[in-house]
Amino acid sequence: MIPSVTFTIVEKVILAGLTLAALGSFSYEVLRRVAIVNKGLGSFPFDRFLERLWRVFREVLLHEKVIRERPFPGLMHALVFWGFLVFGLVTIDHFATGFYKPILSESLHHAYSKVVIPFAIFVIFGIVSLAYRRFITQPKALGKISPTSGLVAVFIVVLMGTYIYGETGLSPLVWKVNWWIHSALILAFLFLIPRSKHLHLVLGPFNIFFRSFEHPDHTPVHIDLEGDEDDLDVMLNDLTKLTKKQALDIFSCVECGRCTDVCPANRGGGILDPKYHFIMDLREPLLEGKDVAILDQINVEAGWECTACQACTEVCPVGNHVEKSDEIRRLEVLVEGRVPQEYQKVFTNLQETGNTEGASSSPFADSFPVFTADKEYVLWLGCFARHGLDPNFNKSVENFTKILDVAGVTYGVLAEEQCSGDPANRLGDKLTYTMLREHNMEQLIETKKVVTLCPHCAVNLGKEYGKYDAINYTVEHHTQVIGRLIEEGRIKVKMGETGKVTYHDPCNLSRMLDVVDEPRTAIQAASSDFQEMDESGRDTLCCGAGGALWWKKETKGRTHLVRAEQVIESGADTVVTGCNFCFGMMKQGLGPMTPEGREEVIVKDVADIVAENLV
Amino acid sequence: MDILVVLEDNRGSLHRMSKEAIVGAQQLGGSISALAIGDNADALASELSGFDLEEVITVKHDLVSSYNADGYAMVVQKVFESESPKTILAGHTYQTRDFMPRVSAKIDAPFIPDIISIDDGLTKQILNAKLNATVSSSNEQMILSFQSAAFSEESIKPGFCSSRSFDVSLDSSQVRAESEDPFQEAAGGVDLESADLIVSIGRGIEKEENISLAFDLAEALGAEVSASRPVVDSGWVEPFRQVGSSGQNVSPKLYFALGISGAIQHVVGMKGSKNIIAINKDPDAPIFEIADYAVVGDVLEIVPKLIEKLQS
Repeated sequence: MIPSVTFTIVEKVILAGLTLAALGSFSYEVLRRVAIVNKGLGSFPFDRFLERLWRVFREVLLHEKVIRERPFPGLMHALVFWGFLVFGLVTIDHFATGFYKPILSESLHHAYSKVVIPFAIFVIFGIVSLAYRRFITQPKALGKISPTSGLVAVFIVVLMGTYIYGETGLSPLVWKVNWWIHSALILAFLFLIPRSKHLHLVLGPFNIFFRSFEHPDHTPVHIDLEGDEDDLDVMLNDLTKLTKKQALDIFSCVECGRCTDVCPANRGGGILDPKYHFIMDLREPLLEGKDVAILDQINVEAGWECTACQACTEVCPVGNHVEKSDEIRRLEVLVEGRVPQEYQKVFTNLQETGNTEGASSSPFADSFPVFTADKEYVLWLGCFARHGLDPNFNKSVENFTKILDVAGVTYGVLAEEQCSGDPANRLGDKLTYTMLREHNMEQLIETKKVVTLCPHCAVNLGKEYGKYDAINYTVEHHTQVIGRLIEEGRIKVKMGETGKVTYHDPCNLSRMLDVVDEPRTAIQAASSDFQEMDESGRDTLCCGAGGALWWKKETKGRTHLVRAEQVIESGADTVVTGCNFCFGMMKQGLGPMTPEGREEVIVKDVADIVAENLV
Repeated sequence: MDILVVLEDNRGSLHRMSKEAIVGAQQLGGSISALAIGDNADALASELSGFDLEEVITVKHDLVSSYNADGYAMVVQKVFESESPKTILAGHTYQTRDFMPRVSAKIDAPFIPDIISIDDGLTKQILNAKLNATVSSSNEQMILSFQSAAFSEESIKPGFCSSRSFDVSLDSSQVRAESEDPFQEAAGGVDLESADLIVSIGRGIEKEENISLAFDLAEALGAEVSASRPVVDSGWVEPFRQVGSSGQNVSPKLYFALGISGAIQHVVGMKGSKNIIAINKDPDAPIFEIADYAVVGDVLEIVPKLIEKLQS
């Protein structure tokens, strides 16, 4: 309720001056950043417009992701956010009162305050909880103590307090002092927001709108082997530049550290801290240099630790594509020519033999029928299976073909299949990748359907190749085919004596291809005792081999052990997976983590558990 | 002098591949001298005193007290100009790869690296070791390097050999490169990559207490000890002993795989071994697919008896 108060002309001038200064500062700081963002390469996407809007509605207005990922702090944040929305009208009315007269009528004001006061209390509760978490609990992910956050918390509490106080029937003088305090805080906010992580208030919704539907979403590197040298120079020069979206990411970051919390390299004892290495470390150079050619500022050592699993990107509440290992690695390899020794060998093998290990024969591949046009699927083997590199995994390949045979699905292998190029692609050697991709595209020219046991091949043959050329075939992972054959009743599977079974989602399969349900359909057809791990589906934890780290020479990383420990803790007798790399890492990590006197967990592929229980 | 073998100093003693290069030189025939450079030159020379060489030329100078590419290339050039051998020989080590191309450019003689045999002319592997090529040079003088294990160091001909010191004048302006300390995998690291005999431990050893068994066998054989990653991850041996995709690649003459299942990550690091003896309880263990001698049985039963036999 507003007592009859009038504002003198002097007060109005002061108010106008302060408001202009605050708005001016706010606009200047925001526009300064927008100008830098605009220097970025590429353009912002507006395709699938309604889908994007729907995503903004769910993730911003409903706070769906924020709450799901960290339920209590997420809800507290939502209370503050929803309070802000409710306060929008209050704030407009507040300043209108100062400049001229209230917009809301006396009765409307009174009615609305019945809504706002409870919200003001929610906001106080929310912000105090968040401040408690930040300054008393101090979770590691939040990083260094931020004085600005403390100031903001105090501001918000005082803002809410002054609002409620203003509604308690004050004398005109007290009301006016209270009014000025409230106004000053709002204007101070305008100064603070663009200079701090609180800019996410402004940029977050846009950033979520523009977020790619696919990740990883690195720009393709087109290398024309017969091209002009000047074009090549331009291409190489552009490799240091952020895209518009990447630049917007950096200003949108809210510094919550969810990305670091989920990072497998970090959890395995590595130095990689995606919040800093991929985002925050770039903020100052971007702002001060006023230039987007800053990708060379990424910590190289950290960049080589990344498993490219996309957990950081998946989890980001403001829509950032956090992971930038691709950017720093391609700079190192293509521009600087600095290739870690172990990867030189991988690249040479890929260039000379078309497979990662330099194998010169493929007796295992030769045991399968060759693809001809009358067959339904090209069975894409991938290096491990093609060259029979992992005798343990060969059985899984044979189990899959057994399933196809029983279902009457026809398939054949390509005589000239080479590595899909995943290791070269992820390690930044886009030249070798181009060679392999072009070779394989020629082999696949007549192909309609591809099925592969390797999720890395599946991602590359489909999504990644599709960034360069139109592809005329579909790519499926073998778990998708198995899941469908079961659902269509084309194979019959009985409940087996499997013991307790859990499933490790390969990140290339769950996060990059969104294949989460089909493997479970398959496993649950064969096992009645299936149990999820805490981190599953798109929230899976990488086995440690992604991003071509399978070939990394390091003996200290513990990522695979972290995951193996989770598998053991799940109490499962068998862990099923759907990727030859995960398969190998699981097998390697489980032994050392198994407590004495306990049986080691058995590792199987989805094809194994299904084939073993075919009726 | 027909042949000059450039020796490599491996922390005070002669590099195995330098000895192999001397064997190669002896098989090529002619009068052979060796060149030892640096603070340890005398030690290297005395190691060779019982072998059939004409002499060892020793060069000591502050600027080549330890290896650096500029200095070594200058020294070899000066010795070459003074003694004019027909052939300069060396083992195909990283060091040779580093400085020998400079020598080749300085003395204008071709460098034919990484030779695997001299039986039918100079043979080297091409196209990722799919084909062997025989190479010859029309030049009278040339530089050759031999691949590791192209010759067996045991075939070195005994005899007598003197040493002679050779003075060089080097200018610090000519030696611009500085070497850091020789790289070692880890403190107390073992040189698995050049080991002839390796006893390697897998999780089949069952317990940390049983690790000593492998070390006892290694001692009896004069072998180095390595392990698979799970053994390292279990904390049973030091990380520098790890063999495999994330550890070292080894190619010994004999690889003793004790309780190693043969996961792909391990096999890629040791499949180049000349002989593999695998002991494993599981007859289906993948290691048996690449083993030359497959023993299905319990490591803990077999190894103690083996040690007993070796010691008696």
